[in-house]
Parts: sequence; structure tokens; C-alpha cells
Amino acid sequence: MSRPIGSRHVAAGVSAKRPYICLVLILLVLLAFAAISRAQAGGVTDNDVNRVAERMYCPVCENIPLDDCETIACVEWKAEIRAQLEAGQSDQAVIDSFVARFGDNVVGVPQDPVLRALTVIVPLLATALAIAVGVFTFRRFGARRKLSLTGERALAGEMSDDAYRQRLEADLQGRR
Amino acid sequence: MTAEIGLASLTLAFGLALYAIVASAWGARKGAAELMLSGRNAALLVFPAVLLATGCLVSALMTEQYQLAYVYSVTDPQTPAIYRFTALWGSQKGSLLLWSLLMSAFTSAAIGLNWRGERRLMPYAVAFMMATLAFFLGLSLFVENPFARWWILPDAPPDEQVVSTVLIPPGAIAPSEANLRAGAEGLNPLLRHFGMVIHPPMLYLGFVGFTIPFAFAMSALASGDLSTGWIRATRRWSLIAWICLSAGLILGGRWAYDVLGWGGYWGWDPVENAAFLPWLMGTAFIHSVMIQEKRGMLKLWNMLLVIATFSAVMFGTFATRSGVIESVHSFARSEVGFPMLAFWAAMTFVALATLLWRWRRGELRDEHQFANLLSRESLFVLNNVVFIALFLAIFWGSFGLPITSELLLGVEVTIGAETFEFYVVPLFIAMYVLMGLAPLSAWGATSARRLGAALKAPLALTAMSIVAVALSGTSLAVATIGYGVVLFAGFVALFEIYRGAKARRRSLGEAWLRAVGALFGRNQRRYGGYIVHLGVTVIGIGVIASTVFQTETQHTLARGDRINVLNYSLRYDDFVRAQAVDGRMMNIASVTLSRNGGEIARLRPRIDDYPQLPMKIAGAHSTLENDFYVLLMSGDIERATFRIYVNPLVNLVWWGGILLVIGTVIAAYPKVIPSPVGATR
Repeated sequence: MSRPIGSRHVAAGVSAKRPYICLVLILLVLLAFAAISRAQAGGVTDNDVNRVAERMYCPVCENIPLDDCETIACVEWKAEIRAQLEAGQSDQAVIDSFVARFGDNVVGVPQDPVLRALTVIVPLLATALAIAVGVFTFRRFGARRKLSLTGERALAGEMSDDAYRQRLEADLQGRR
Repeated sequence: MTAEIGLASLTLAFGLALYAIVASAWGARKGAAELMLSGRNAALLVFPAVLLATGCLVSALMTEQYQLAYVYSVTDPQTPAIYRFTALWGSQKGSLLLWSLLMSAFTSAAIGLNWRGERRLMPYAVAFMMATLAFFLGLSLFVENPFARWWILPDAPPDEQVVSTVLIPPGAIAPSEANLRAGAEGLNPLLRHFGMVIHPPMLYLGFVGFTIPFAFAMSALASGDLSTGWIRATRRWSLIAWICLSAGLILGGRWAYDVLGWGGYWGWDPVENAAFLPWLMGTAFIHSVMIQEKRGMLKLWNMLLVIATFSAVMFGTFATRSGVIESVHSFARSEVGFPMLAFWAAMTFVALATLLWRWRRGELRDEHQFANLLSRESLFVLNNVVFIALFLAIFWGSFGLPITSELLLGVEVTIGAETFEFYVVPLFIAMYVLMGLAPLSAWGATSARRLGAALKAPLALTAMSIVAVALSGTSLAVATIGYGVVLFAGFVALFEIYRGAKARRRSLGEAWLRAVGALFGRNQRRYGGYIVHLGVTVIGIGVIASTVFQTETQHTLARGDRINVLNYSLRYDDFVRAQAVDGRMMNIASVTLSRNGGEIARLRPRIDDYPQLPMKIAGAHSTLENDFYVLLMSGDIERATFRIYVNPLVNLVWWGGILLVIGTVIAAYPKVIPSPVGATR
């Protein structure tokens, strides 16, 4: 019995692709095996839990990062972080879920947009204010500096080692 | 009997302080010399009275007098003698008494050393110092009395039968000694560490030390003597306070590293920040005050800074003890919050109002003007701007935002390290840059050309260092830049010492060592300051390396298993449960640390099993290169979980701290002025 030419072509094509199909199947099996192993072994490591926990704070002790705290509440929270990570949640999703339930004080950066803005803007304003005070001081004195500049200009020239030593000695003499 | 003597001494001290305030202020106002002397003598007597009261409390702690509620709350029969003594500052009542003792000692010393030289300022200074002291003595006497005792009231309802009072209630009977011994609570586990023997007293010394410059500044404002007399009188006190505060902060960091078990030393905790804020203001002040001494400038600014430093001290004390922000230090909370807030607000208001009054009368005019932007005084002002910005930013993150948010929005927030680092890092970079530039510029005026010439050598050294750091494999640009900025400040300090010694060698032919010694001997303040800058440089390198390049991992090991971390290998060997001499149970793991195949250390991380709070005490192997720091998280004889940190160059933080203290001691050490040849007494 002979096969039709067309079907031979098909059979030859299937035969040519067989190694690839096998390879894909093997890969799928391996991936499934890896996934099962990971799930059985609790694939989320302590380091994964700590990576999330160090961005959060203890709900009982003020200002203690979650990863460093061993209160019962913190142990339970870390177990929940592990469970959520094992369920495939991202780090940020885990943190967001805690913030949604327990409020902004579980993280070190407020999540509320107003508070977050205040966290950043006020220090910047404080810096600007401090700079403004400095600028004001210079401007206040700058306006009057012409009065005393002439006598001090002599100090502004280049100085050799000898000149430096003389000034050093004069400075030291003045302190005696 | 001990308690009665202590209570009587405390009452006497409070009365003397009140009398000293009235006599000194009234005497100064009326020009009555006898009254001023009487006020001074009363002030001098406060110290022995507080010393006696403190001695009584220490005696009660050492001799286990558990009927005293304070002794009962901070010791138990198992407490070792050293911790019985340190229990003096183990809780609110004792630490307030210690504060008063240190404050009275500083006050007596300031009166003794400055009475003759600053006769015009002293009566007012005594009044202000005694006002602060009287407030704290009043707290100890009326709110947090350490001599209160336990009593049983047989006729009272069951839940009100046991009370602690200073005076014996009618019908009260003393509890049995056996019951008291059995129930004694013992010292807070966090305080059972050598760091806690020194850290709190050093911080208190720093805090009370800044009361002296404040009192003299207020005295200058009150008396109208606005010359540099108050600065001359307090320069050394400011430096002493600054050394103590710096040492207290560094020791606190070391304590946190050893005891708190998180692999770090600074967590931007509000209570840490409460101690750091006065340090920032104090640092700005000790720089700025030089401008007034040298150039007669910034009189108003210096007054503001010294008032702000004192105000920050009082606010920090209030924040730490009132429970307004809870943290690991909250063991010191009690009911002193409102009186402290009121005292802080009142003193700050009085100080600012007096300053404003003098300023409006035109009595704080400067004697010179700024010549140009590159002069040393201008750079010092910029340095002040950076410190003020740091102060405001850290204050906002630690107290401003959390309190505002809770009060106005009803939302509790936590401001963590990542938030602080976002805005303090640029400011610290600016601080290091100015720390490098300022010593190279001159008082009065400096040309850009001259400053550029002086910068050549330090900049060349910095560039070479950056190349060396990059070649060593440091791939992080942020860290490389950070090292460069910090090293620049250090190279300038070294270069200035070198330049001064070279100038002396050239003109006087001195040997290098002699030239350097002469420089330090004849201008302690400047060259001591350079050593401080070197210390801050070393700390900066340690902080960058241990923060940016810290390695952290956590693993569970079966007995005999190994874990490799960088080029270290750690093997879990054994696990024992044992009892310490003070009664606490300890879970101790034994691990062997190897490097490149060779065993280098055996470490014993442990968990101290206190009923209130288990504590993880690290096992650490320290080298110049890094600390291998391992914590036992949990375990048994078969398996144990360890958290491991490798902290590069972390020891530089402590060594830099030591250098900083040495430099400040050099700067503050009294100058020995040789007697003229042939002079006789």
C-alpha cells in the first residue's frame, strides 16, 4: 500500500518538527515540575519576605521596621507576607494590601498623596528658607560692604608660603 | 532612713535653687552685691545637696531597698552590681535626678571658673541656670519622685490597696520584704549593656552642657553687656557640651549596633533624631561663634543659634520622655509631658522676646561686614545654612509631619529611613563640600584665584582617590562620588596641617614632628578642629560603605550545614540553652566562620529570653575590611535560622568618632601660657 504524496509530505513535516515538539513538551514538564517543587518547598525564601518586610513597620512598636521585630503581631504579618508572595503577589501589591487595611503608618513613606507631598515639599521649603536667610544675610551686608572693602582688599592677593607663614604667625600672636 | 535623707536633700536643693534665682536676679537688678553673693552661694550649695540625694538613691539601689518603688522597678535580686549602679538612669525618675546632678555640677563649675572674670554677667547667668535646674528638681520632687515607697492600705478597696507615695498614708503598713524581693521587676533588658553604662550620661552631659552657653547668652541680653564676654566665658563649655553630645550619639549608635539586632547603628528613629537635632544646632553655633570672636559679626545670629540649641535640647527631652512619639526608647515615658512642654515653650518665648527687644534697640549691630562670598565667614554662614536646613528637615520628618498629620488629619504616619535619606543626603554632601572649602579661605576676603590655588593639592588627591576607588571595583557611581566628596574634606584638613608645618619648617628649620606639635600647641582650636574634620571624614567613609554596600541574607541551616556569603562560609555547629548569672535564659548557637577555606572565628549569636522582650545579641567578627555580623533568629539543636550581615568598613564609624572626640579635646583643652622668665609669685 502506498501513501498519497500529499500525506507523505505531511508525515515528513510532522517528522521534521517532532524534535521541537518533544523539546517543548520536555520544557513544559520541567517547568511544571519546577513549579510543583517550588510550591512544595514553599519557594518564597526568608530573604524574599525580609525584602518586603524591611519596607514596612511594626504595627505595635512605633518606628521598628517589620523585618527586625519579633512581636507576635510582626511574626503573623511576616507569615502573611510569605503567603501573599507564594500566591504570586508582587512586593508592591503585598505592601498596598497592608496599607489598605492598616493605614499609612505601616510604611516608611506615606501613601496618601497629600501626606506624601508634604513629606517631600516641606523639607525642600525648609532648605529654600535656610538658603533665603543666607542670601538675605549676604545682601544685607553686601549693601554696606563698600565701607570696609578697601582695607581688606590687601588680603585678597596671592600668597606665598612665607606670606602664609607670616599670616599664620600673626594669627597665633593675636591669640596669645 | 536613706529615703528620708534623700528626700530632704532633694527638697533642700529645690529650695536653694529657687532662692538663688530670686537673690541673683534681684541683686543684679538692684546692684546689691551682698544679695548677688548670697544667690551665688545658694547656687553653689545645690550641687552637694543633689549629690547627697543621688547618693541616697544609689545606696538604696545597691543595698536592695525594694520598698522604694524606683528600686523595685529597675532592679531585682539577680541584678549584678554594675547594673544596680547604672539602674540610676534606668528609668524616668532616676534619670531626671541624674540630669539634675549633672546640671548642678556644670553650674557649680561655671560659677567657680567664671565668677571673677565675668562679674557683670554672672548674677543673671546664675538665675537662668538655676531656673532650668529648679524646673528639673521640681519634676523630681513633685511629679517623678524617686523616693516614693510602696505601702499597703488594708482598709482600701482591693484594687487600691497597694500604692507608692512619698509620705506615709494614714493606716498604711509596709509590704513584706520577701514579697517585694520576689516581685521586683529588674532592669529593662535593653539597658543591660556596657554601652548603656556610658551612653545616657554622655548625652545628658551634652544636653545640660548647652544650658551654660544659653544661660550666659541670656545673661548678656538681660544685663545689656553684649560684647563678646559671654562668648569668651562659654566657648569651652560649648565645646565640652559638644564633645559629650557627639560621644553620646556615637555610643548610642554602637549600643544599637550591638543590642538592637538589626545590623545597623542609625535608624532615623525620632528619639535618635531628638538627640541629633541639638547636635546640629550646636555644631552650627560653635562654627558661627568664631565669626563673632574674630570679626565681631553675626551677633544676632549667634544669639538665635544658642537659644535654638537650648530649645532643641528641651524639646528633645520633652519628646523623649513625654511619649509624644513612641519608639524603642519609650521606656522613659511618664506624666512629665505637659510640664516639660510648658517649660520649653516658656523659656523659648522669654529668650526670643528678650532677643527681639535688644535687637530692636539696635544693640546687636555687627562691627564688620561681609567682604565677599568666598571669605571664610561667608562660607561659615553657608555652612550654617546647611545645618539649619538639616535641622528643619529632620525635625519635620521626626515630629512635624507625624504630629501634624495625627492632629489635623487623624492619620498616623511613620517616616522611615528612606524618606530621611532622600533629603538629608544632598545636604550632607553640601556640608562636606563646605567643610573642605572653608578652611582654605581667609577671614575678611579671599580671591577666587587664591582659593583655586589652595584647592589644587586637595583636589588632585581627591581625584587620585576616586580613580583608585573606581579601579578597586566599586561600580556604583553614587558611592564613588560620595567617597570623593567626603575625602575632599579630609584631604583639606590634612593639607592645612601639612601647609602650616611646612611653613614653620621653612622659616624656623623645625623637624616635621616638632613643627606639627608646635602648630597644635599654639593654635589648638584651629588644628583640633582639623582633627575633628578628619574624624567626620572617617565617619563619612564608614557610613557610605556600610550603608551602600551592606550584604544581608537569612537562611535556615541544619546542624553541620554551611552557608556561603561573599567569601565567607558559616557552619552551624551547636545549640545550647543556658542560664546567665542574672537569671535570664539564653539560647546560644555556636557557628564556625571560615574564609578562603581557613577557619577564622567561632561565634556565638544568642537570644536572651527576657519575659518582656527577647533580645537578639549578634556574634560578630570584626576586621579592618568589614564586620561579619550574624544573628540567631530562632532554632533548636537540629536547625537554626540565621540572619547574616556583612558591613564593609563599619568600624570606621567608631574610629572616626574617637578621632572626633580627640580633636575636640585638643580644641577645648585649656591653653598653658608660660610664665615670663624670672617671674615670681
